[in-house]
Amino acid sequence: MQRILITGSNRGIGLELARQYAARGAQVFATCRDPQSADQLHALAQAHADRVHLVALDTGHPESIAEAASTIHAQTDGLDVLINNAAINPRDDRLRAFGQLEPDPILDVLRVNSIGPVLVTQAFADLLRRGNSARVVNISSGAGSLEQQANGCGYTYHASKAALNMFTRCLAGTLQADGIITIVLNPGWVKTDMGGPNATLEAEQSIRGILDVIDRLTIDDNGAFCQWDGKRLPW
Amino acid sequence: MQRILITGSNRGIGLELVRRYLRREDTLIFATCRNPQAAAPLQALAAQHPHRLLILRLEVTDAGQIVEAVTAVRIKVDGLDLLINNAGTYAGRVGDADPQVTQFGALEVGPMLDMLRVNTVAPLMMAQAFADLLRRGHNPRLVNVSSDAGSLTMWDGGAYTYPASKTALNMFTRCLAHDLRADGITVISLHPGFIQTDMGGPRATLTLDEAIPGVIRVIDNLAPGDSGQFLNWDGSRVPW
Ligand SMILES: NC(=O)c1ccc[n+]([C@@H]2O[C@H](COP(=O)([O-])OP(=O)(O)OC[C@H]3O[C@@H](n4cnc5c(N)ncnc54)[C@H](OP(=O)(O)O)[C@@H]3O)[C@@H](O)[C@H]2O)c1
Ligand SMILES: NC(=O)c1ccc[n+]([C@@H]2O[C@H](COP(=O)([O-])OP(=O)(O)OC[C@H]3O[C@@H](n4cnc5c(N)ncnc54)[C@H](OP(=O)(O)O)[C@@H]3O)[C@@H](O)[C@H]2O)c1
Repeated sequence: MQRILITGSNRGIGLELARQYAARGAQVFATCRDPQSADQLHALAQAHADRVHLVALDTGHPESIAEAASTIHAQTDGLDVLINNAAINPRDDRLRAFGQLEPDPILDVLRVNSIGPVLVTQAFADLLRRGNSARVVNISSGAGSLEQQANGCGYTYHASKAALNMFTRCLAGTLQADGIITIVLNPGWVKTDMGGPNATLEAEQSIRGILDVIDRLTIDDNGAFCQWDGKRLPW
Repeated sequence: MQRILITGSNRGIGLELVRRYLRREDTLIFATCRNPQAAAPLQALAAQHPHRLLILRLEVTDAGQIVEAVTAVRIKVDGLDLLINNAGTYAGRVGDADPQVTQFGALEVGPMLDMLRVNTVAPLMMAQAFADLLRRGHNPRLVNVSSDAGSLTMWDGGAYTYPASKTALNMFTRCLAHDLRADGITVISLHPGFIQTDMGGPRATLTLDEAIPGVIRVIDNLAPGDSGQFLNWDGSRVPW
Protein backbone atom coordinates (compact mmCIF):
# COMPACT_ATOMS: atom_id res chain seq x y z
CA MET A 1 0.00 0.00 0.00
CA GLN A 2 1.43 3.36 -1.05
CA ARG A 3 1.72 5.91 1.74
CA ILE A 4 1.08 9.49 0.62
CA LEU A 5 1.37 12.79 2.46
CA ILE A 6 -0.32 15.85 0.96
CA THR A 7 -0.26 19.42 2.29
CA GLY A 8 -3.22 21.78 1.80
CA SER A 9 -5.54 18.87 1.07
CA ASN A 10 -8.82 20.36 2.30
CA ARG A 11 -9.75 21.95 -1.03
CA GLY A 12 -8.68 22.46 -4.62
CA ILE A 13 -5.87 20.41 -6.10
CA GLY A 14 -4.85 18.97 -2.73
CA LEU A 15 -8.33 17.60 -2.06
CA GLU A 16 -8.55 15.98 -5.48
CA LEU A 17 -5.09 14.44 -4.95
CA ALA A 18 -6.31 12.96 -1.66
CA ARG A 19 -9.47 11.64 -3.36
CA GLN A 20 -7.71 9.96 -6.26
CA TYR A 21 -4.98 8.42 -4.10
CA ALA A 22 -7.61 7.17 -1.65
CA ALA A 23 -9.72 5.78 -4.52
CA ARG A 24 -6.85 3.63 -5.71
CA GLY A 25 -6.19 2.17 -2.32
CA ALA A 26 -3.35 4.28 -0.95
CA GLN A 27 -2.94 5.30 2.65
CA VAL A 28 -3.32 9.08 2.68
CA PHE A 29 -2.07 11.49 5.31
CA ALA A 30 -4.32 14.36 4.31
CA THR A 31 -2.98 17.43 6.04
CA CYS A 32 -4.47 20.89 6.24
CA ARG A 33 -4.40 23.95 8.46
CA ASP A 34 -7.72 23.35 10.14
CA PRO A 35 -8.98 19.74 10.06
CA GLN A 36 -12.05 20.70 12.16
CA SER A 37 -13.58 22.67 9.32
CA ALA A 38 -12.42 20.37 6.50
CA ASP A 39 -15.84 18.89 5.74
CA GLN A 40 -14.95 17.30 2.43
CA LEU A 41 -11.89 15.64 3.91
CA HIS A 42 -14.00 14.28 6.74
CA ALA A 43 -16.38 12.78 4.20
CA LEU A 44 -13.41 11.23 2.39
CA ALA A 45 -12.03 9.86 5.65
CA GLN A 46 -15.41 8.34 6.44
CA ALA A 47 -15.54 6.60 3.08
CA HIS A 48 -12.03 5.17 3.59
CA ALA A 49 -12.00 4.95 7.36
CA ASP A 50 -8.78 3.03 7.87
CA ARG A 51 -6.76 4.68 5.11
CA VAL A 52 -7.38 8.45 5.15
CA HIS A 53 -5.97 10.29 8.15
CA LEU A 54 -6.60 13.98 8.77
CA VAL A 55 -3.63 15.75 10.34
CA ALA A 56 -3.23 19.43 11.19
CA LEU A 57 -0.28 21.00 9.37
CA ASP A 58 0.30 24.69 8.70
CA THR A 59 3.29 24.84 6.36
CA GLY A 60 4.11 28.41 7.41
CA HIS A 61 4.83 27.41 11.02
CA PRO A 62 7.72 25.15 12.08
CA GLU A 63 5.95 24.14 15.33
CA SER A 64 2.96 22.93 13.36
CA ILE A 65 5.22 21.01 10.96
CA ALA A 66 6.99 19.40 13.93
CA GLU A 67 3.70 18.41 15.56
CA ALA A 68 2.39 16.88 12.35
CA ALA A 69 5.67 15.01 11.93
CA SER A 70 5.43 13.46 15.38
CA THR A 71 1.76 12.53 14.82
CA ILE A 72 2.55 10.85 11.50
CA HIS A 73 5.69 9.16 12.81
CA ALA A 74 3.42 7.41 15.29
CA GLN A 75 1.20 6.12 12.46
CA THR A 76 3.64 4.90 9.82
CA ASP A 77 7.25 3.84 9.52
CA GLY A 78 7.69 5.13 5.98
CA LEU A 79 6.32 7.48 3.32
CA ASP A 80 6.36 6.81 -0.43
CA VAL A 81 5.11 10.13 -1.83
CA LEU A 82 5.22 13.61 -0.31
CA ILE A 83 3.24 16.22 -2.22
CA ASN A 84 3.97 19.79 -1.17
CA ASN A 85 0.82 21.35 -2.57
CA ALA A 86 -0.15 24.11 -0.11
CA ALA A 87 0.38 27.65 -1.38
CA ILE A 88 -1.18 31.08 -1.35
CA ASN A 89 -1.70 33.72 -4.02
CA PRO A 90 -3.52 36.56 -2.26
CA ARG A 91 -5.10 39.28 -4.39
CA ASP A 92 -3.21 42.03 -2.63
CA ASP A 93 -1.58 45.00 -4.36
CA ARG A 94 1.23 44.95 -1.79
CA LEU A 95 2.37 41.72 -3.46
CA ARG A 96 1.89 42.48 -7.12
CA ALA A 97 1.53 46.18 -7.97
CA PHE A 98 4.74 48.12 -8.60
CA GLY A 99 4.51 51.26 -6.50
CA GLN A 100 2.61 49.52 -3.71
CA LEU A 101 4.93 46.59 -2.94
CA GLU A 102 5.72 45.96 0.74
CA PRO A 103 8.37 43.65 2.23
CA ASP A 104 6.46 41.89 5.01
CA PRO A 105 3.49 40.68 2.95
CA ILE A 106 5.95 39.52 0.26
CA LEU A 107 7.97 37.56 2.81
CA ASP A 108 4.79 35.97 4.20
CA VAL A 109 4.14 34.48 0.77
CA LEU A 110 7.74 33.31 0.37
CA ARG A 111 7.48 31.66 3.78
CA VAL A 112 4.50 29.52 2.74
CA ASN A 113 5.16 28.94 -0.97
CA SER A 114 8.96 28.62 -1.08
CA ILE A 115 10.28 27.77 2.38
CA GLY A 116 7.30 25.70 3.60
CA PRO A 117 7.91 22.81 1.18
CA VAL A 118 11.60 22.68 2.15
CA LEU A 119 10.85 22.54 5.86
CA VAL A 120 8.12 19.93 5.39
CA THR A 121 10.50 17.79 3.33
CA GLN A 122 13.16 18.20 5.99
CA ALA A 123 10.75 17.11 8.73
CA PHE A 124 9.66 13.98 6.82
CA ALA A 125 13.01 13.07 5.24
CA ASP A 126 13.62 10.10 7.55
CA LEU A 127 10.19 8.62 6.73
CA LEU A 128 10.84 9.16 3.02
CA ARG A 129 14.22 7.43 3.33
CA ARG A 130 12.34 4.42 4.68
CA GLY A 131 9.74 4.56 1.90
CA ASN A 132 9.59 2.45 -1.27
CA SER A 133 11.32 4.45 -4.04
CA ALA A 134 10.06 7.61 -2.45
CA ARG A 135 9.15 10.74 -4.40
CA VAL A 136 8.90 14.37 -3.37
CA VAL A 137 6.61 16.42 -5.60
CA ASN A 138 6.60 20.17 -5.12
CA ILE A 139 3.63 21.80 -6.79
CA SER A 140 4.99 24.82 -8.61
CA SER A 141 3.44 26.74 -11.50
CA GLY A 142 4.15 27.98 -15.00
CA ALA A 143 4.27 31.36 -13.23
CA GLY A 144 7.60 30.20 -11.77
CA SER A 145 9.21 29.79 -15.18
CA LEU A 146 11.62 32.70 -15.78
CA GLU A 147 11.72 31.84 -19.46
CA GLN A 148 7.97 32.32 -19.75
CA GLN A 149 7.77 35.71 -18.04
CA ALA A 150 8.87 37.96 -20.90
CA ASN A 151 5.64 39.96 -20.84
CA GLY A 152 5.27 40.96 -17.26
CA CYS A 153 4.48 39.13 -14.10
CA GLY A 154 2.92 39.52 -10.71
CA TYR A 155 6.13 39.75 -8.67
CA THR A 156 5.58 37.81 -5.46
CA TYR A 157 3.71 34.67 -6.51
CA HIS A 158 6.00 34.28 -9.53
CA ALA A 159 9.16 34.80 -7.48
CA SER A 160 7.90 32.42 -4.79
CA LYS A 161 7.55 29.63 -7.36
CA ALA A 162 10.91 30.41 -8.99
CA ALA A 163 12.50 30.16 -5.54
CA LEU A 164 10.62 26.91 -4.92
CA ASN A 165 12.07 25.58 -8.17
CA MET A 166 15.60 26.33 -6.94
CA PHE A 167 14.93 24.84 -3.51
CA THR A 168 13.65 21.76 -5.31
CA ARG A 169 16.88 21.44 -7.30
CA CYS A 170 18.78 21.65 -4.02
CA LEU A 171 16.50 18.98 -2.47
CA ALA A 172 16.93 16.79 -5.53
CA GLY A 173 20.68 17.00 -5.09
CA THR A 174 20.54 16.20 -1.38
CA LEU A 175 18.00 13.36 -1.51
CA GLN A 176 19.30 11.58 -4.60
CA ALA A 177 21.82 9.66 -2.48
CA ASP A 178 18.87 8.12 -0.60
CA GLY A 179 17.19 7.03 -3.83
CA ILE A 180 14.49 9.67 -3.49
CA ILE A 181 13.33 11.42 -6.67
CA THR A 182 12.36 15.08 -6.26
CA ILE A 183 10.59 17.21 -8.89
CA VAL A 184 8.62 20.41 -9.33
CA LEU A 185 5.33 20.02 -11.07
CA ASN A 186 3.01 22.44 -12.83
CA PRO A 187 -0.60 21.24 -12.39
CA GLY A 188 -1.84 23.35 -15.31
CA TRP A 189 -4.53 25.99 -15.02
CA VAL A 190 -7.09 24.26 -12.82
CA LYS A 191 -10.60 25.28 -11.71
CA THR A 192 -10.07 25.83 -7.99
CA ASP A 193 -10.47 28.81 -5.67
CA MET A 194 -7.01 29.91 -6.83
CA GLY A 195 -7.36 29.02 -10.51
CA GLY A 196 -10.82 30.60 -10.80
CA PRO A 197 -13.78 29.55 -12.96
CA ASN A 198 -12.12 30.37 -16.30
CA ALA A 199 -9.35 27.83 -15.83
CA THR A 200 -8.97 25.34 -18.65
CA LEU A 201 -8.74 22.13 -16.60
CA GLU A 202 -11.03 20.31 -14.22
CA ALA A 203 -9.20 19.17 -11.10
CA GLU A 204 -10.17 15.59 -11.93
CA GLN A 205 -8.28 15.69 -15.26
CA SER A 206 -5.18 17.52 -13.99
CA ILE A 207 -4.80 15.20 -11.02
CA ARG A 208 -5.28 12.06 -13.11
CA GLY A 209 -2.36 13.31 -15.20
CA ILE A 210 -0.30 14.18 -12.11
CA LEU A 211 -0.70 10.68 -10.62
CA ASP A 212 0.42 9.22 -13.91
CA VAL A 213 3.48 11.51 -14.04
CA ILE A 214 4.40 10.58 -10.46
CA ASP A 215 3.96 6.83 -11.16
CA ARG A 216 6.34 7.01 -14.12
CA LEU A 217 9.13 9.06 -12.54
CA THR A 218 12.63 7.73 -13.03
CA ILE A 219 15.97 8.93 -11.75
CA ASP A 220 16.40 10.88 -15.02
CA ASP A 221 13.56 13.11 -13.88
CA ASN A 222 15.26 14.02 -10.62
CA GLY A 223 15.23 17.81 -10.23
CA ALA A 224 13.10 18.39 -13.35
CA PHE A 225 10.25 20.84 -13.98
CA CYS A 226 7.40 18.54 -15.03
CA GLN A 227 3.85 19.27 -16.04
CA TRP A 228 0.56 17.43 -15.36
CA ASP A 229 0.44 16.10 -18.92
CA GLY A 230 3.97 14.70 -18.94
CA LYS A 231 5.57 17.66 -20.76
CA ARG A 232 8.62 19.46 -19.40
CA LEU A 233 8.74 23.19 -18.72
CA PRO A 234 11.72 25.49 -19.33
CA TRP A 235 13.29 27.15 -16.31
CA MET B 1 27.68 63.56 -15.76
CA GLN B 2 26.58 60.02 -14.95
CA ARG B 3 24.76 59.80 -11.63
CA ILE B 4 25.22 56.43 -9.97
CA LEU B 5 23.98 54.85 -6.75
CA ILE B 6 25.59 51.67 -5.42
CA THR B 7 24.43 49.73 -2.34
CA GLY B 8 26.79 47.78 -0.09
CA SER B 9 29.71 49.88 -1.29
CA ASN B 10 31.99 49.76 1.76
CA ARG B 11 33.78 46.56 0.73
CA GLY B 12 34.05 43.85 -1.90
CA ILE B 13 32.45 44.35 -5.29
CA GLY B 14 30.58 47.49 -4.25
CA LEU B 15 33.76 49.28 -3.14
CA GLU B 16 35.62 48.29 -6.29
CA LEU B 17 32.76 49.61 -8.43
CA VAL B 18 32.98 52.94 -6.60
CA ARG B 19 36.76 53.11 -7.16
CA ARG B 20 36.50 52.38 -10.85
CA TYR B 21 33.57 54.69 -11.56
CA LEU B 22 35.41 57.47 -9.70
CA ARG B 23 38.31 57.16 -12.16
CA ARG B 24 35.97 58.57 -14.78
CA GLU B 25 35.83 62.36 -14.53
CA ASP B 26 32.15 62.66 -15.35
CA THR B 27 30.56 60.65 -12.56
CA LEU B 28 28.69 61.54 -9.40
CA ILE B 29 28.50 58.60 -7.04
CA PHE B 30 26.16 57.93 -4.16
CA ALA B 31 27.94 55.20 -2.26
CA THR B 32 25.67 53.67 0.32
CA CYS B 33 26.58 51.40 3.20
CA ARG B 34 25.22 50.38 6.57
CA ASN B 35 27.80 52.11 8.68
CA PRO B 36 29.54 55.09 7.01
CA GLN B 37 31.57 55.89 10.15
CA ALA B 38 33.31 52.53 9.93
CA ALA B 39 33.81 52.64 6.15
CA ALA B 40 37.44 53.81 6.13
CA PRO B 41 38.23 53.09 2.44
CA LEU B 42 35.11 54.94 1.34
CA GLN B 43 35.89 57.88 3.63
CA ALA B 44 39.38 58.07 2.13
CA LEU B 45 37.95 58.14 -1.39
CA ALA B 46 35.44 60.83 -0.38
CA ALA B 47 38.25 62.96 1.01
CA GLN B 48 39.96 62.80 -2.40
CA HIS B 49 36.77 63.42 -4.38
CA PRO B 50 34.52 65.51 -2.12
CA HIS B 51 32.34 66.74 -4.99
CA ARG B 52 31.87 63.46 -6.80
CA LEU B 53 31.44 60.95 -4.00
CA LEU B 54 28.70 61.11 -1.40
CA ILE B 55 28.45 58.48 1.29
CA LEU B 56 24.93 57.70 2.48
CA ARG B 57 23.84 55.47 5.30
CA LEU B 58 21.65 52.65 4.04
CA GLU B 59 20.67 49.38 5.60
CA VAL B 60 18.76 48.09 2.56
CA THR B 61 16.13 46.25 4.62
CA ASP B 62 15.17 49.43 6.47
CA ALA B 63 12.26 51.14 4.72
CA GLY B 64 12.85 54.36 6.64
CA GLN B 65 16.49 54.53 5.60
CA ILE B 66 15.51 53.96 1.97
CA VAL B 67 13.22 56.98 2.17
CA GLU B 68 16.04 59.02 3.73
CA ALA B 69 18.42 57.94 0.96
CA VAL B 70 15.94 59.00 -1.73
CA THR B 71 15.58 62.38 -0.03
CA ALA B 72 19.35 62.82 0.23
CA VAL B 73 19.83 61.99 -3.45
CA ARG B 74 17.01 64.34 -4.51
CA ILE B 75 18.71 67.25 -2.77
CA LYS B 76 21.69 66.79 -5.10
CA VAL B 77 20.22 65.64 -8.41
CA ASP B 78 16.91 65.54 -10.22
CA GLY B 79 17.56 62.19 -11.87
CA LEU B 80 19.56 59.00 -11.46
CA ASP B 81 21.21 57.24 -14.40
CA LEU B 82 22.35 54.00 -12.79
CA LEU B 83 21.23 52.11 -9.71
CA ILE B 84 23.31 49.08 -8.76
CA ASN B 85 21.64 46.82 -6.20
CA ASN B 86 24.86 45.20 -5.02
CA ALA B 87 24.34 44.63 -1.29
CA GLY B 88 23.85 40.98 -0.55
CA THR B 89 24.59 38.30 2.00
CA TYR B 90 25.73 34.67 1.97
CA ALA B 91 25.46 34.37 5.77
CA GLY B 92 29.13 33.52 5.80
CA ARG B 93 31.39 32.76 2.90
CA VAL B 94 31.09 30.32 0.03
CA GLY B 95 31.71 26.83 1.40
CA ASP B 96 31.50 28.00 5.00
CA ALA B 97 28.10 29.53 5.67
CA ASP B 98 25.46 29.33 8.38
CA PRO B 99 23.97 25.78 8.25
CA GLN B 100 20.56 27.25 9.11
CA VAL B 101 20.36 28.60 5.57
CA THR B 102 22.56 26.15 3.67
CA GLN B 103 22.27 22.67 5.13
CA PHE B 104 19.40 20.25 4.75
CA GLY B 105 18.56 19.01 8.24
CA ALA B 106 19.50 22.32 9.85
CA LEU B 107 17.37 24.74 7.81
CA GLU B 108 15.41 27.32 9.85
CA VAL B 109 12.68 29.58 8.58
CA GLY B 110 13.84 32.73 10.45
CA PRO B 111 17.38 32.92 9.04
CA MET B 112 16.09 31.87 5.61
CA LEU B 113 13.61 34.75 5.57
CA ASP B 114 16.32 37.14 6.77
CA MET B 115 18.44 36.23 3.75
CA LEU B 116 15.52 36.61 1.33
CA ARG B 117 14.79 40.00 2.86
CA VAL B 118 18.27 41.27 1.98
CA ASN B 119 19.01 39.51 -1.31
CA THR B 120 15.57 39.37 -2.92
CA VAL B 121 13.10 41.82 -1.43
CA ALA B 122 15.42 44.77 -0.70
CA PRO B 123 16.50 45.23 -4.34
CA LEU B 124 12.82 45.33 -5.29
CA MET B 125 12.10 47.96 -2.64
CA MET B 126 15.10 49.99 -3.84
CA ALA B 127 13.83 49.82 -7.42
CA GLN B 128 10.42 51.00 -6.31
CA ALA B 129 11.78 53.85 -4.19
CA PHE B 130 14.21 55.12 -6.84
CA ALA B 131 11.96 54.57 -9.87
CA ASP B 132 10.99 58.25 -10.07
CA LEU B 133 14.61 59.39 -10.05
CA LEU B 134 15.51 56.75 -12.64
CA ARG B 135 12.62 57.87 -14.86
CA ARG B 136 14.25 61.29 -14.95
CA GLY B 137 17.71 59.85 -15.64
CA HIS B 138 19.61 59.71 -18.95
CA ASN B 139 19.51 56.27 -20.49
CA PRO B 140 18.63 54.88 -17.05
CA ARG B 141 19.74 51.41 -15.96
CA LEU B 142 18.89 49.27 -13.01
CA VAL B 143 21.36 46.48 -12.29
CA ASN B 144 20.48 43.74 -9.82
CA VAL B 145 23.66 41.96 -8.80
CA SER B 146 22.57 38.35 -8.90
CA SER B 147 24.69 35.21 -9.13
CA ASP B 148 25.07 32.22 -11.40
CA ALA B 149 24.33 30.26 -8.23
CA GLY B 150 20.74 31.37 -8.93
CA SER B 151 20.74 29.73 -12.36
CA LEU B 152 18.37 26.74 -12.30
CA THR B 153 20.02 25.40 -15.45
CA MET B 154 23.57 25.55 -14.10
CA TRP B 155 22.67 24.33 -10.63
CA ASP B 156 25.47 22.09 -9.41
CA GLY B 157 24.90 21.33 -5.75
CA GLY B 158 24.33 24.82 -4.42
CA ALA B 159 23.26 25.57 -0.95
CA TYR B 160 19.54 26.21 -0.64
CA THR B 161 18.71 29.73 0.46
CA TYR B 162 21.38 31.81 -1.30
CA PRO B 163 20.70 30.30 -4.73
CA ALA B 164 16.93 30.50 -4.19
CA SER B 165 17.26 34.15 -3.12
CA LYS B 166 18.99 34.95 -6.42
CA THR B 167 16.54 32.93 -8.53
CA ALA B 168 13.70 34.88 -6.94
CA LEU B 169 15.62 38.13 -7.53
CA ASN B 170 15.89 37.15 -11.19
CA MET B 171 12.12 36.82 -11.34
CA PHE B 172 11.80 40.33 -9.89
CA THR B 173 14.21 41.52 -12.62
CA ARG B 174 11.83 40.01 -15.22
CA CYS B 175 8.81 41.73 -13.63
CA LEU B 176 10.62 45.07 -13.27
CA ALA B 177 11.94 44.98 -16.83
CA HIS B 178 8.40 44.76 -18.09
CA ASP B 179 6.90 47.39 -15.80
CA LEU B 180 9.71 49.91 -16.40
CA ARG B 181 10.13 49.39 -20.14
CA ALA B 182 7.69 52.17 -21.00
CA ASP B 183 9.83 54.55 -18.91
CA GLY B 184 12.93 53.60 -20.86
CA ILE B 185 14.60 51.97 -17.86
CA THR B 186 16.75 48.96 -18.72
CA VAL B 187 16.72 46.34 -15.96
CA ILE B 188 19.05 43.34 -15.78
CA SER B 189 20.33 40.68 -13.43
CA LEU B 190 24.11 40.46 -13.52
CA HIS B 191 26.51 37.73 -12.43
CA PRO B 192 29.71 39.58 -11.46
CA GLY B 193 31.94 36.48 -11.64
CA PHE B 194 33.19 34.28 -8.81
CA ILE B 195 35.39 36.87 -7.12
CA GLN B 196 37.79 36.89 -4.20
CA THR B 197 35.93 39.03 -1.67
CA ASP B 198 34.86 38.33 1.89
CA MET B 199 31.93 36.46 0.35
CA GLY B 200 33.71 34.67 -2.48
CA GLY B 201 36.64 33.67 -0.28
CA PRO B 202 40.26 33.08 -1.31
CA ARG B 203 39.45 30.15 -3.59
CA ALA B 204 37.23 32.21 -5.90
CA THR B 205 38.47 32.16 -9.50
CA LEU B 206 38.69 35.90 -10.19
CA THR B 207 40.20 38.95 -8.58
CA LEU B 208 38.27 42.20 -8.37
CA ASP B 209 40.76 43.66 -10.86
CA GLU B 210 39.94 40.96 -13.36
CA ALA B 211 36.17 40.98 -13.03
CA ILE B 212 35.00 44.52 -12.27
CA PRO B 213 36.21 46.14 -15.53
CA GLY B 214 34.10 43.51 -17.28
CA VAL B 215 31.11 44.29 -15.09
CA ILE B 216 31.41 47.99 -15.94
CA ARG B 217 31.79 47.25 -19.66
CA VAL B 218 28.61 45.14 -19.61
CA ILE B 219 26.72 47.97 -17.90
CA ASP B 220 28.13 50.57 -20.36
CA ASN B 221 27.00 48.48 -23.30
CA LEU B 222 23.46 47.80 -22.13
CA ALA B 223 20.78 48.41 -24.73
CA PRO B 224 17.02 48.45 -24.16
CA GLY B 225 16.86 45.02 -25.81
CA ASP B 226 18.88 43.60 -22.93
CA SER B 227 16.19 44.50 -20.42
CA GLY B 228 14.96 41.49 -18.46
CA GLN B 229 18.09 39.44 -19.22
CA PHE B 230 20.55 37.66 -16.97
CA LEU B 231 24.05 38.68 -18.07
CA ASN B 232 27.47 37.45 -17.13
CA TRP B 233 30.41 39.79 -16.31
CA ASP B 234 31.94 38.94 -19.70
CA GLY B 235 28.78 40.00 -21.55
CA SER B 236 27.51 36.49 -22.29
CA ARG B 237 24.10 35.36 -21.14
CA VAL B 238 23.58 33.23 -18.07
CA PRO B 239 20.86 30.63 -18.68
CA TRP B 240 17.88 30.80 -16.33
N1 LIG C 1 -5.26 26.31 -9.68
C1 LIG C 1 -4.36 26.57 -10.58
O1 LIG C 1 -4.68 26.92 -11.71
C2 LIG C 1 -2.90 26.43 -10.25
C3 LIG C 1 -1.98 26.66 -11.28
C4 LIG C 1 -0.63 26.52 -11.03
C5 LIG C 1 -0.22 26.13 -9.78
N2 LIG C 1 -1.13 25.91 -8.77
C6 LIG C 1 -0.60 25.48 -7.48
O2 LIG C 1 -1.31 24.32 -7.06
C7 LIG C 1 -1.35 24.27 -5.63
C8 LIG C 1 -2.78 24.12 -5.15
O3 LIG C 1 -3.51 25.21 -5.64
P1 LIG C 1 -5.11 25.26 -5.66
O4 LIG C 1 -5.50 25.77 -6.98
O5 LIG C 1 -5.67 24.02 -5.16
O6 LIG C 1 -5.31 26.45 -4.60
P2 LIG C 1 -6.48 26.72 -3.54
O7 LIG C 1 -7.76 26.20 -4.08
O8 LIG C 1 -6.35 28.15 -3.19
O9 LIG C 1 -6.02 25.81 -2.30
C9 LIG C 1 -4.86 26.11 -1.63
C10 LIG C 1 -4.66 25.09 -0.54
O10 LIG C 1 -3.45 25.39 0.14
C11 LIG C 1 -3.74 25.49 1.51
N3 LIG C 1 -2.83 26.36 2.23
C12 LIG C 1 -2.56 27.66 2.03
N4 LIG C 1 -1.68 28.11 2.94
C13 LIG C 1 -1.39 27.06 3.74
C14 LIG C 1 -0.57 26.88 4.87
N5 LIG C 1 0.16 27.89 5.38
N6 LIG C 1 -0.52 25.66 5.45
C15 LIG C 1 -1.24 24.64 4.97
N7 LIG C 1 -2.06 24.76 3.91
C16 LIG C 1 -2.14 25.95 3.32
C17 LIG C 1 -5.16 25.98 1.58
O11 LIG C 1 -5.67 25.73 2.86
P3 LIG C 1 -6.80 26.71 3.56
O12 LIG C 1 -8.12 26.18 3.10
O13 LIG C 1 -6.54 26.52 5.01
O14 LIG C 1 -6.54 28.10 3.08
C18 LIG C 1 -5.77 25.13 0.48
O15 LIG C 1 -6.00 23.83 0.95
C19 LIG C 1 -0.65 25.54 -5.16
O16 LIG C 1 0.70 25.25 -4.91
C20 LIG C 1 -0.77 26.45 -6.36
O17 LIG C 1 0.23 27.45 -6.37
C21 LIG C 1 -2.46 26.07 -8.99
N1 LIG D 1 32.00 37.45 -4.58
C1 LIG D 1 31.44 36.64 -5.42
O1 LIG D 1 32.06 35.67 -5.88
C2 LIG D 1 30.02 36.86 -5.89
C3 LIG D 1 29.54 36.01 -6.90
C4 LIG D 1 28.24 36.18 -7.36
C5 LIG D 1 27.47 37.21 -6.85
N2 LIG D 1 27.95 38.03 -5.86
C6 LIG D 1 27.09 39.10 -5.37
O2 LIG D 1 27.75 40.33 -5.42
C7 LIG D 1 27.28 41.22 -4.40
C8 LIG D 1 28.45 41.75 -3.59
O3 LIG D 1 29.17 40.65 -3.09
P1 LIG D 1 30.64 40.76 -2.44
O4 LIG D 1 31.38 39.58 -2.93
O5 LIG D 1 31.16 42.11 -2.62
O6 LIG D 1 30.24 40.46 -0.91
P2 LIG D 1 30.86 41.01 0.44
O7 LIG D 1 32.30 41.22 0.27
O8 LIG D 1 30.38 40.07 1.48
O9 LIG D 1 30.14 42.42 0.62
C9 LIG D 1 28.76 42.47 0.81
C10 LIG D 1 28.35 43.91 0.87
O10 LIG D 1 26.91 43.94 1.03
C11 LIG D 1 26.65 44.73 2.18
N3 LIG D 1 25.41 44.32 2.84
C12 LIG D 1 25.06 43.09 3.27
N4 LIG D 1 23.86 43.13 3.86
C13 LIG D 1 23.45 44.41 3.79
C14 LIG D 1 22.29 45.10 4.21
N5 LIG D 1 21.29 44.45 4.84
N6 LIG D 1 22.17 46.43 3.96
C15 LIG D 1 23.16 47.07 3.34
N7 LIG D 1 24.29 46.49 2.91
C16 LIG D 1 24.42 45.18 3.15
C17 LIG D 1 27.83 44.53 3.07
O11 LIG D 1 27.86 45.55 4.04
P3 LIG D 1 28.49 45.33 5.54
O12 LIG D 1 29.95 45.56 5.41
O13 LIG D 1 27.77 46.33 6.36
O14 LIG D 1 28.18 43.90 5.93
C18 LIG D 1 28.95 44.64 2.06
O15 LIG D 1 29.18 45.97 1.71
C19 LIG D 1 26.30 40.40 -3.58
O16 LIG D 1 25.00 40.68 -4.01
C20 LIG D 1 26.68 38.97 -3.92
O17 LIG D 1 25.61 38.08 -3.74
C21 LIG D 1 29.22 37.86 -5.38
